[in-house]
Amino acid sequence: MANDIFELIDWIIKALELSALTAIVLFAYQKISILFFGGSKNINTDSDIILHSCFITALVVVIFHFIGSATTQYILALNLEKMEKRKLFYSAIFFMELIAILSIFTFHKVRSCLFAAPARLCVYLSFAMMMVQMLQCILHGIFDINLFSPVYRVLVLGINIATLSIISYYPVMAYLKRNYNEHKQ
Amino acid sequence: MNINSELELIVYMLLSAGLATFVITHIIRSGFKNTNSEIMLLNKIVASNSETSLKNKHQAQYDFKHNLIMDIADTRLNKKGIEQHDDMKLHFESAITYYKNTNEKPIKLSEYKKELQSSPPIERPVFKIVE
Repeated sequence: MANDIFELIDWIIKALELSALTAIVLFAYQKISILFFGGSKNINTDSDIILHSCFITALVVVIFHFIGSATTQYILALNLEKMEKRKLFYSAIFFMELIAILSIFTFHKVRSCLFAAPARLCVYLSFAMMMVQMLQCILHGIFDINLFSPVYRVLVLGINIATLSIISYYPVMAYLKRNYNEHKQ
Repeated sequence: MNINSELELIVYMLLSAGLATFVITHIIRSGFKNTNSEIMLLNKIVASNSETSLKNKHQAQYDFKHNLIMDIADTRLNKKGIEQHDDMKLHFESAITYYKNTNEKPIKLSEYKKELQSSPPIERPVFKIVE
């Protein structure tokens, strides 16, 4: 029962993250090609930095969340010994988070784009997720201690919700700003 | 899996965590570095008009600090009140220094706060019909 609820929440979070990414793309529909294929010469103002940084972060978060879910489902379906499966499960998520951090960093560096606050916060949260996964891997996967498991679930859910709220920041603010400007006119 | 492979896994995880820490440190440092370089640039500003050079330089420093601090204050303003906030204290200190350097009479704090909240009036050009 609890597993079903957590899975449902995970799907809702994924759907909302995808919506946030779509909203970012829609809000910048005039610059879509620049958003995907633009370089350092296209990032001139502070708003460009925030837009590109939020877009890169949202894109990486969404892609890695979907890949991560698919990979973990695949690992759970494998015919392995219980402890080996646990180690593989937690270490896979751990290394995926590391790759996500490196991807966010590399995409920013390739575009010579500064890190906006949402990007920085997402990197910190991914690092927190890495630490949680490492701790759970050692306790649950190596020493077979279940003491941390309830906290682990809550922490993972909390980090996912925090990440969702951070990547939703830009589209929500853009929407509010647009409404405010229209109201002012 | 034996103990060695488990130990290897932990070592690799710790190394990865170290790599992630390095990346995060780089991100934090690059953020601070940019802000500092902008502040350093202000010391190199030379006004074309010698009479107002001091005023222009301090005005530029003041404007930059004002914008920076107002941004921070906007996001971090808490229940302590605007003048009690550490960043706002720094802001008012910089404002006092600015008025001291430009030999202008400091305005009252309450008036200044009102001035901050209201946008400056737009100067409209006056056209006269010449017959």
